[in-house]
Amino acid sequence: MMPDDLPPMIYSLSAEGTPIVVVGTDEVGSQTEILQSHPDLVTTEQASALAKVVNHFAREFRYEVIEDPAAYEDAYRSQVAAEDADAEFQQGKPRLRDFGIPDFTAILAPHFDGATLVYYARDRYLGIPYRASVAASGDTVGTPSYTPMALSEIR
Amino acid sequence: MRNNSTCELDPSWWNREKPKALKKSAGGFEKALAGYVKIQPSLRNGVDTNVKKSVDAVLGAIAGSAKDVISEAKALQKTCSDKAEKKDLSNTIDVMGKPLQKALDAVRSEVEDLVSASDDEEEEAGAFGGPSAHGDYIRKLAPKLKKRTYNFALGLKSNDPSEMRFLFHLKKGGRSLGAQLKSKAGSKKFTFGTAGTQAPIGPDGEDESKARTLLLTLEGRKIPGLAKRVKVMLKSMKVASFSKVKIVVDGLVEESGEEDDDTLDTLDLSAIPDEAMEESSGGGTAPDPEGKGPVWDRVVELQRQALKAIVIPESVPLMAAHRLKAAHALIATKIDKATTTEDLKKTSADIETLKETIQQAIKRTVKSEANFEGLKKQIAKMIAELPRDLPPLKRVPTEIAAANDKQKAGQEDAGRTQLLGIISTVQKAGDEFQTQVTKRLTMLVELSDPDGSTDDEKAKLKTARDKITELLTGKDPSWAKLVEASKAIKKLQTLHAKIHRSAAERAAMAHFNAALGGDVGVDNASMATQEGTVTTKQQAFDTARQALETAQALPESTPQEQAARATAIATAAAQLQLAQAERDQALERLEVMRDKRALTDALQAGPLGSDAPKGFSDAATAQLIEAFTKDRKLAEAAMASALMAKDPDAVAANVGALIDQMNGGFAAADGRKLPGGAAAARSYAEDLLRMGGQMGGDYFEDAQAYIAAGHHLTADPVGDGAITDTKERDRKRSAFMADALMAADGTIDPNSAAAQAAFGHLRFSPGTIEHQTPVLNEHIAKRLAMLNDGANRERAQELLNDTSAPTNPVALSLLRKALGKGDADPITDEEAKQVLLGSLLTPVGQNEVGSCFATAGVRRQSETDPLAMMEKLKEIATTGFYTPANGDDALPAITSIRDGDDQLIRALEYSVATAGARQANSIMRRNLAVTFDDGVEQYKEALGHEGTWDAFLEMIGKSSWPRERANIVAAIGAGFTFTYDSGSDSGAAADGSSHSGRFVLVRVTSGAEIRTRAAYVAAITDISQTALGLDPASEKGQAIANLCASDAFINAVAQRNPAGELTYKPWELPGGGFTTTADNALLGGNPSGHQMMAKDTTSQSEGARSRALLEGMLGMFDGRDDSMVSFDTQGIHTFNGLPNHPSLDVLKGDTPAERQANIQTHLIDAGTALRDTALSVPRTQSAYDAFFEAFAEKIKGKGWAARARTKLGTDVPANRPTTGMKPKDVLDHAMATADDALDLIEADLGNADWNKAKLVGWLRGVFKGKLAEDLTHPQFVIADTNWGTGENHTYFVIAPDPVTGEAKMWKRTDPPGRLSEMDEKWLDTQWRAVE
Repeated sequence: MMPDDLPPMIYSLSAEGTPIVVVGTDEVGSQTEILQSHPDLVTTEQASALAKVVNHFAREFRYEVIEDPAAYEDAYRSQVAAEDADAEFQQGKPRLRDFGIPDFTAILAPHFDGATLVYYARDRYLGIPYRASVAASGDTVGTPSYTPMALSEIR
Repeated sequence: MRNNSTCELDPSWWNREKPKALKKSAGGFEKALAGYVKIQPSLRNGVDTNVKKSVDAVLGAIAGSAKDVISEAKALQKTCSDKAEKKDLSNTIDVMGKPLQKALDAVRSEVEDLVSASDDEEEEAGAFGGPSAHGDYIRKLAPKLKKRTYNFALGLKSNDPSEMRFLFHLKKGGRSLGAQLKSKAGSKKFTFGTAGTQAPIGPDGEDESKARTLLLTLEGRKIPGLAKRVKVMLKSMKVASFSKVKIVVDGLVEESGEEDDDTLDTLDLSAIPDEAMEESSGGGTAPDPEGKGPVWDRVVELQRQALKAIVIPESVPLMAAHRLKAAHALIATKIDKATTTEDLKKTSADIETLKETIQQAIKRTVKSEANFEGLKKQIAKMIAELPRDLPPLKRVPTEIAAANDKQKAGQEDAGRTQLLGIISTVQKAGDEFQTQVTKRLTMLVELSDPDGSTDDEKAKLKTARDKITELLTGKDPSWAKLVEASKAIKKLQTLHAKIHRSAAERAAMAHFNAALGGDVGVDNASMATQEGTVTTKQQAFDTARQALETAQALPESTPQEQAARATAIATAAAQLQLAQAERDQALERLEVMRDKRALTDALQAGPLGSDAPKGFSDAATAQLIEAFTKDRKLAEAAMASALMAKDPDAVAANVGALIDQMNGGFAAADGRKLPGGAAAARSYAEDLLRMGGQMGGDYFEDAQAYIAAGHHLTADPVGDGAITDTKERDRKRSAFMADALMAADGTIDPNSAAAQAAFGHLRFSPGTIEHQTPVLNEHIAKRLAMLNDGANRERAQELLNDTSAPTNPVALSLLRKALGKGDADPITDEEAKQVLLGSLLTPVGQNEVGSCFATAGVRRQSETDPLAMMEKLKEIATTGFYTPANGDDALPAITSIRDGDDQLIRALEYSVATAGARQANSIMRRNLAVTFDDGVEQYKEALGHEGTWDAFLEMIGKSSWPRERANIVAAIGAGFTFTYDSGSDSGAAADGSSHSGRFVLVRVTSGAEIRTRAAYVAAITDISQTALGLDPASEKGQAIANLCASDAFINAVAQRNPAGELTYKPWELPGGGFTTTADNALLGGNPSGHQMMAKDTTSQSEGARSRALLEGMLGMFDGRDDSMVSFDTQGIHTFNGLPNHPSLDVLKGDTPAERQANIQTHLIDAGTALRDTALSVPRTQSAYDAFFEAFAEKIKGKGWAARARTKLGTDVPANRPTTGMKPKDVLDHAMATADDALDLIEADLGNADWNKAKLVGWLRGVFKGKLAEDLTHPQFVIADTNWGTGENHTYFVIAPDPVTGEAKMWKRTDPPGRLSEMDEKWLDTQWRAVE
């Protein structure tokens, strides 16, 4: 099946609360299962789709895969500008200013670096970027690791 | 000869004891003994060197013939078959050995003394001659005084020291010598005692030959200024043998005569009591003016006896024996020269050490030599000399039987080993008994009559002391008597302290009255009168000064004018001098009255009163009272410090010495004084008292060493003199300490000179303790103690070694801020380590911004596992990231931290808080989606499609339900987030507390907060329509909207409990914050909340809630030893409970009933008594005054309060209570008095923020807090709030409200122990322990 033929996917939860991906009309409950039915996900062309699948089964709704780094940077900078520069830290009310600003040039759309899928993901709660990577070759894709990006303090 | 027959140098003894078998040598020995008897008369007539030679010859003959006896006895032993005879010979051999030698040595020693005494008498002529001859006499005696202690008498003929005469003698009593001086030297008065010298102590101990201090221990009457007088006398007679003279009375050095000048006060010989003149035939008991002397003598004698009883066995190897003998001799010298009870304690300890050393030596040697039967005899002999009821002796018969059994079974070695063990036990038992006796006798010395005690009190003390002395030293000593003596000493201590207290009070008042010329009143009116007198005298002084200036300005052109001017000036100057004297006298009198008033207030309404709820021990009270006579202001400072002190007794015990040091300008050992004069010294003394009270332990002793070394003269050693921000000061001091703690090579050593010096600066430097950080200091002390443990230090060192300068920008930023560096400045490895170590030394306290969920956990970890916290700090410092302990993804450390704060600790707190909130967010996001899914399942029923999905799908135009359902759930999961609202009614949580802290649902796309059902319905309608691709305006879209708004759907997503109550409403999420997730992030595990007290739903009283909380807490932690446990008051605060705080001990019990009963007694009943008991008049007045002092302070300088101040100025003194009142009545009375002034404030201000009702509430709270501080004791500390800095820390306590009597919750800030009411909401909410 060609990449363009991949049906739209929905990243959701089952009635039991476990992560699922709905492919077409099929509810798929694991990464292995979806890779078996759609081995062409492990291709450069489908890096974004694969990243979202891997991200969902690994972290459910915690992260959102950054597919458009420029849009992410714009949104990030806008939010920083909107935040009160003099405000103090408050528990349970995270701000981007609490953390700092990343090197946006390092944030790329999902891609393969050799046999490793690399993608950047936005923490839905904190808004900050993480770099995720996972070994992916053939029909085998591992468990991703998430590393926060180095940030510089916003003065 | 009998076993252990006591050797006597007497032929009759020999004839009684000698073995019948002995033939050849017996006569020779008898003859030698007869020679000794023959020479006795010459000894009684005086001993010179010739006589001594004769004695030596006789003793030599005895020793020689004894050898013959031994030889013959040994020879006979070999051929003797009779067992008894053999034993007879054996005993003879034994006695002819060491016992005989000892007897001969004793005679030789005595003869030596007699020869010496004879020599002294030859020289006595000089004692009665002129100054030059007397000088020669003293110079000749000086070398002997450096070797032996002599009896002496010192005669005085006139006020002239050169007419003083000494007479020394080894044997003759002091009184007898005094009589000689009187008759032969014309002395009119004399005193007497013993004379010796004191040697300087060098690296090898004391060197007698260098002894330059003449030590005169008086047994006769004291003579004023005697030390100095003797020193001048010696100087006038050109005696340079002694550079110092010390006078010892009752074991204490009373005079040291170290002044440089030779000026002497005139001595009135007639003032010396006649008793000193009385002659005595010698012997008898020395005068005992204070009941101390005889006991002191007894202790000394007992120590001498104890030392004498210590025998170094011959079996001990030679070199070891030499060492032991040297130690023995040294102790003997020390006992002779002991002048204080401390000296005696040390010698007592030395004796014990010597015994132990000898025992060890015996163990090493006797094992191979002693036979089984011999050991048994040794045990029997030892036991015979000991009290039979010594507890360790009870086991001895059984153990001996066991040893016998072993011997019979052929295991003699094992039996001998067991017997050796028994010997050791018996020896120890005897030693311990003697030690305990001596210890108690030494205690008696310390319990001598306090100054100012009455004859009746002295008699009581003497009776008690005599009884104890008899128990300890009388016939038939026993363990039972020792126990009885111990109990009696405890009673004596109590009696002594009480007498000391009342004697001190009488002495102080007598001191003031003497200065005032009588028992002058110091009430307000009397004080006002004297203040008026001072004003009048000051005015007179000013007038006189003006008159002098006028006189000085008179013309002086002509001789007549000059004469007139001179006369006028002289007259005016005389008047000015008089006026000045009168003014100064009035001022001085006023000061004394103020001193007396201060002490009177402290006794009647303050903590020195016997009715003070938070008073001190009698001993401490006595010392504080005594301090009032020396320096009122410092005494008051000491009293205030002691009230909050960990060890009030230490403060009280040191204030006297501190006053002396203050008056001496806090001079170092080299004489350098604190710069800034008297004011600086006073300020330093006050600061030392405050800090000493907080630090406790050996603070004052350590301070003395610091000052003596002159470290206090180093200006601003920490470099924080210019810092004004509290947290920045904490950080600076921690960094200073960290810098000293870590050597240049990166190793940490809490005992290094640099570390100790730095900690000294933090605790004692004048500049440092002016801005005191007792909490920080205590924290550092704990950290240093922790690092003293090898394993801890090793782990900390590993963490430091693993710390290097980071490359991560967040870590760099944090370290730069911590070091005060610029944005681009480089960081070295060493600096990174220093920052990390500094954070370890900084106490964790919550900032003004809310972070309680995480701060509580970090603080708890800091207190209970500081190195685990250090590990997390190290991660942040080196990587810029924080990895939660629960395995969650790391996150960048938070950097939005104030510059003055500890950057690493704050970064950890905030990062933990963020990780906890992130986890909570994740859980809630999933919960919302899953719950919503439940609601979706209600679609079909709600839309009335007879339960078929197909119909529903057809209705909305969709064909794949799983896909649509997943779409909606995904939209919900990604469409919402949560924010934490710390509380709307208290605004930003200033202290981390709030009334209704909870998470709030937020729509991601708009950022809108969902706080109502309508807002929630609108949001889910929008999300559902979008997910399903339905036009909101369409019929299908409207159907979804109707569905989302329906009760059935809302009931499904809101969830209800079986009682039908909504339990999960997305628009009104439950309060409580994220204590569990923050703890989970910090510590891992699976923490959950456990209810200690349910939320109040029945409007219980504050007292009932307090009680319920204590019962719940004590019940939950019964039998556990947790020092800190996470507590949360849902929606308000997370902090650390202290379920095992010592103050709670009296409330604990094994059963709920026991705990309830204890709470009833110590809290509820105590509160009722407090409420219902009228205060004394002085305490009533004090409480009333405190109310208005707080009121005056509140409105001080406010223009709008001018009329109120005038009104109060009239009403407050007019209504001051004159009778005792209950706390509530005092409050009501004060409120009634203040009522008019409060009306005036409201009228003149017209400001809603300062209206009458608010001021009344404020005054009521302040009054209750102040009264509770003074009256409620104990206060039950239940939790650590997280709130505090290096200066103080705040705790939650439960204590009675003195006005209502009900138990209530307060927060207490230590220091200074200030209590503030807590709002009732704190007790109304649910209390949980999270673990």
